[in-house]
Amino acid sequence: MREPVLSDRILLSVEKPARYIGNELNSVQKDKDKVDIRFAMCFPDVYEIGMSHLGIQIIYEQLNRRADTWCERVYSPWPDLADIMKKEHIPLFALESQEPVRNFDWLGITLQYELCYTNVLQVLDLAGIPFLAAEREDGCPIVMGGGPCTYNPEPIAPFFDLFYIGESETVMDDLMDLYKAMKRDGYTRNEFIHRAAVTIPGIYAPNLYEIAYDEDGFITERKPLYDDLPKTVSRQVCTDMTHAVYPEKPLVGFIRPTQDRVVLEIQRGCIRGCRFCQAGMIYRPLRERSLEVLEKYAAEMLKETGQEEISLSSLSSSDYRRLPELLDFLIQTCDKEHVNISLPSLRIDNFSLDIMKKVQDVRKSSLTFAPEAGTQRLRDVINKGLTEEEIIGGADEAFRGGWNKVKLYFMLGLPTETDEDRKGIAHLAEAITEDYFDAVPKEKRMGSVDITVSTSFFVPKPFTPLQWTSMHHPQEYIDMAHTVRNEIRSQRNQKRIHYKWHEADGTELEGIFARGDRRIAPAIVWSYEHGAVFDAWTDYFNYQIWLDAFKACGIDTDFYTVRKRSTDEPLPWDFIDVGVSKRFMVREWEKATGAEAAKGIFRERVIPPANEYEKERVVIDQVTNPRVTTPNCREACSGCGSLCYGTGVCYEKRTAGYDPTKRHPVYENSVVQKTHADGEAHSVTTAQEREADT
Amino acid sequence: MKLRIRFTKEGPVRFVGHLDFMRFMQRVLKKSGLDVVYTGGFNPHMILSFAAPLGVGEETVGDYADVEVAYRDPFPLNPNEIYMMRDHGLQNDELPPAPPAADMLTMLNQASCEGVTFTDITRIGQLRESNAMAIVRYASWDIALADTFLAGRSVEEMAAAVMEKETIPFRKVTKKADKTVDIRPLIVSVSAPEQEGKVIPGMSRHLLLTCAAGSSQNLKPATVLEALAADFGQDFDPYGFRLLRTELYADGLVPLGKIGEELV
Repeated sequence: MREPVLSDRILLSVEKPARYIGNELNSVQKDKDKVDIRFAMCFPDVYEIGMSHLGIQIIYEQLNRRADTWCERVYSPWPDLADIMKKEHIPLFALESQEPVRNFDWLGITLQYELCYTNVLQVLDLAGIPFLAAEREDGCPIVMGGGPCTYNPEPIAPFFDLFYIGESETVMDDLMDLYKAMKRDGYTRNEFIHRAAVTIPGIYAPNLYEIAYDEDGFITERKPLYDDLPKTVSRQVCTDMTHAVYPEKPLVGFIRPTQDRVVLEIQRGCIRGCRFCQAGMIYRPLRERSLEVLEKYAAEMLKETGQEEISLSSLSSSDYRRLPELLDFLIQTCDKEHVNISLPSLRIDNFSLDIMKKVQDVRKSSLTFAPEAGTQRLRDVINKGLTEEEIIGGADEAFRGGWNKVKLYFMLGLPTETDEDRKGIAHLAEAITEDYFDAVPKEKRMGSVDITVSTSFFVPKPFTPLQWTSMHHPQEYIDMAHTVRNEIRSQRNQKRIHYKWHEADGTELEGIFARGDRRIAPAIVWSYEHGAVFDAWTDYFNYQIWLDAFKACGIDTDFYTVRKRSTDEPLPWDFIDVGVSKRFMVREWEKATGAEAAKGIFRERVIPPANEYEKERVVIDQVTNPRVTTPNCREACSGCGSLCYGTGVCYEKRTAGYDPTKRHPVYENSVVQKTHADGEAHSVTTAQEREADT
Repeated sequence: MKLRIRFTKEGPVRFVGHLDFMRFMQRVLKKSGLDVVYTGGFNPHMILSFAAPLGVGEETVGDYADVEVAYRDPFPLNPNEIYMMRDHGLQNDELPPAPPAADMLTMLNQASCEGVTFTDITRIGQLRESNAMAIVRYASWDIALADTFLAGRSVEEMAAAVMEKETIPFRKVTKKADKTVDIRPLIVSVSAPEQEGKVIPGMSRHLLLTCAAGSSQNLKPATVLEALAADFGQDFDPYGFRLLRTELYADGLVPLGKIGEELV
């Protein structure tokens, strides 16, 4: 039995000592003398958050299947322990072996949100690894980043030796094989980093490139230090989800993780094409897992963990074509086993409400809608394929089904947004509230209707059509929230509508990181050294430190936030090829912000009198504008470019004889080195075909 | 059938608090494949209870949990017990026979993590008066003392200092009250171990203590050590010792595991 490296005295004096002891159900122990590679996989946030993350579980499984590798976990120590570790010079350790991370071969860090960047520095600091990759010497672990934030890794580029752009199921093994061989043959750290970046697709060594800027602050050149380095890095895509590695024995924490359940990833990617959504773009194309393998995983995972809840994971579960069969299977299995099913990201319709009634207690649960914007015009701009009719219709069905708590999520600060759109949020909430009284007769009402409206401020993300959006200053954001609040207060049913909004300071910082470049990095170091850490936690977030940091480092934050960007300016993340082409993004951006998008389309609707005492009523509905929106991938292909991966939704239901591989070079094993021109050529034809069809 | 399971909690897992440990046990029971009985309603949960909670950092080699399983009870049931089972929708005659006790222990141990081992299993029947939580009266502890804790004092000296006294007043200061209580009646025995205890670096002395435990009267071993420190006029270091619970008893110092019927 491995005793904790921390003494009883320390463990008994910190909050939740079980965060630091390892030894959880299904954690992996190996003999360190019998492995060639020690890999520390880190989620730079507290244990409960990190343990909820599926990606790490996949990598943990994938690496530990290798006999030559031992993958262990590392999470950010909570500030109480971090202080003790610094004071007593206790190096950061991995949970399984309780040994210092500094002695490992690899430190992999998943970057799930921008506000964890100071936690990355905390991890490096406690581990005793220099912040700057350039200062690391042989024997120091290779620090590699992965996850959504690597789609613009530039603000944190100096801290990482490598970034892994894409999905772990693809080239991770190649990378480990290369490392093992080069370690055996006595190559240096730098030689390995260089070789990995040259030979393994998707691997980016940021510090082997120099960036030049012009006097206006724009990037003029990315100069590789070696001639053999690739100019672009292509995202690696898993082309066969059904046979990809999956954690059939997931870890089960002693203390309750935020998501305390077994997670079944039914598919990856999304067909919807919401223009604000980074995940909807960078995980294209939609790839489903087979029903059979999902049933097998579900049964296996429940058996191996003893968990009492299973959750389906995907960006939009309703788009999984065999959802009814899968749910039938789960309901049957879970009922026997006393397991709850949780169903996030379902479209609210009759089918999903039926299912929800079967799997959860209607009285206790609330339903969540994410209209994202208050008017149809603005929903069209962001391509949220959801009409007012669908929202109110869904709420109506839900009320009739017995729910009376509804949550509504919106964003503020979207492009082209006006006060009209902000007030529309209040009007939509009011319309839903009023529908409750129509839908549920007085004698059937159980308690009263309870509508919660939450707004967050929109942060434009790289590789989305809205990546050129100008942000606002924190005070303007607060004003937007006040507009919504005041309008809600002036509604008839305002007492039944609760309004919550997010802080604006964190939004600004997130915006700076999301679209920043390498010149941001010194400010991150400065802030960490002046006490910033756990920025994603409201209790710890101190914006003043950041304001001071930007000042001290001479950074004009407006350049990254409120400045108006043009589509032809070079973006810091242009060197990454995510499959979805920039031309598609530009086209989407122009549709979203063009003249057509500025005006709404209205239609009169006549409501016949319900009885002889009523008069005929005329309501004006705002309807969706097909010239602004883009159809989802199953309705029509819009030629985004991800056809090049040769898999997923792009290849569903094609007419006989159609062979896209003839026109598009598709390489084996997801290593795709295509040019955008091909994707584009295709998009033109499909658009023409579509017009010809209609 | 209601089972009483004896288990250990040693090593790193001692830092898992009681509530989290209960959740862990549910996972283990589920993972083991034993057919555990659940309550009805919208929020079904296992019919599972623990004899006495352990504090964070404390170990045990002799704790108990009672769990209801859906297997045929081979022992005669009284009408009251039949009624209680029916409450959970169970008919004893219709249930399958239980796996042999040794197999059940193996199933549990295979599902468990390092440090939590299941060592014994008995049948206790449905009687309310046999419920572990209700009947626990005493606990035995093996206390490992840091070499710096009450330095220079032998374990025999400590045992004598407690056992010779008729009363041991102890001042309890809480947020609400400041009162002095006599803890001596709560102590059954304090002694030096006859055999070598668990080897823990920096903790060469072991002290054995049997004292009250349970819902009616309870004494924390730390309180005894604090009283000893006061008696010797030495400082009390709240981290200067490690606690291992060795047994839980009902009235008359009968171990909880000796109360039910043995299973084959």
